[in-house]
Amino acid sequence: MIQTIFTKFIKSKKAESQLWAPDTMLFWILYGIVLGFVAVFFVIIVAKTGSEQATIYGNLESMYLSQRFLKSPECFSYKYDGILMVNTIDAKKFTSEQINSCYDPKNLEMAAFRITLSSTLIKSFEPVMTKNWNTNREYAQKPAPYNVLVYSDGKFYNGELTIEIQNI
Amino acid sequence: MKKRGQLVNKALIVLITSAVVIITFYSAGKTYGNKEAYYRLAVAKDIALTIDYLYSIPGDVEFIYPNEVSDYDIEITDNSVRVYQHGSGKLDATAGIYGYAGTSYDKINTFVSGPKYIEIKKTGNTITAIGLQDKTI
Repeated sequence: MIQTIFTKFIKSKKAESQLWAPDTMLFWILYGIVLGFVAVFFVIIVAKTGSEQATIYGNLESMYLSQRFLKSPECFSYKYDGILMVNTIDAKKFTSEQINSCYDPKNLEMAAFRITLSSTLIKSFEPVMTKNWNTNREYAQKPAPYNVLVYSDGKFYNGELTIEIQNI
Repeated sequence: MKKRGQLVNKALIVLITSAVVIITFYSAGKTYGNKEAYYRLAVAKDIALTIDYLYSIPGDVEFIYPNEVSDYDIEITDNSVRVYQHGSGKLDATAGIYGYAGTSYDKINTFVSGPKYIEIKKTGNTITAIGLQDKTI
């Protein structure tokens, strides 16, 4: 029913002359262009203005996100018998699969991380990075390395965890 | 030469289109002017940062966002927090939107409409959010 009315309307010479009259087409085109420019101008102006109220100061956000790699058992932290050992990295968990499981940014412009684990007494680890890390760019921030314990093959070793950050 | 009916139709379309444009710009200007839009963005950022932090810590946590949010509808989905004017039906042009870093094992999918407060709860590795009418847990 609705389709029939719509088809009739589309084919109607009267409706065509009313809505799509050639002498008004130029007006509508110009109207659309001008309106588009005004909207873009408005968005640019608004985006440039801001409020202190909505500002996240310092490196609070990246610090919160970094904590995930040190304290969360879903990332690298070692958990034994239900007890989590904060700042202790389980060597088995230090993989790309693990980091992409515990840090999954849908928006690729979110903070990106590359993490390097080093310990003089055990094998060297390949750095792991989040999926939004851009290998063609330098880091934007590199806090001092964190002193951690590394758990590997039933033993604990001293180590350092270096976190590099992009997109901040 | 146009008939009178044609002119009325055209005037009506111009009027409606102009009204939509004017209302949109007016409401957007008003919410930015009275800082309402920034407050919404601040609420969205607060909630997103809280979620980021909760994913970073071990154990279970219940946190009630201390500011009243009864004027807003809050949607947490697809790794972002959106704060709309209450009852705007997600058509709010000045909604506060901010992203958080999710995980592959937990997807938050919450929409709370006009609660007085919002509680964010972490149980195991799962985060949920619910609306509350008072701050008592």
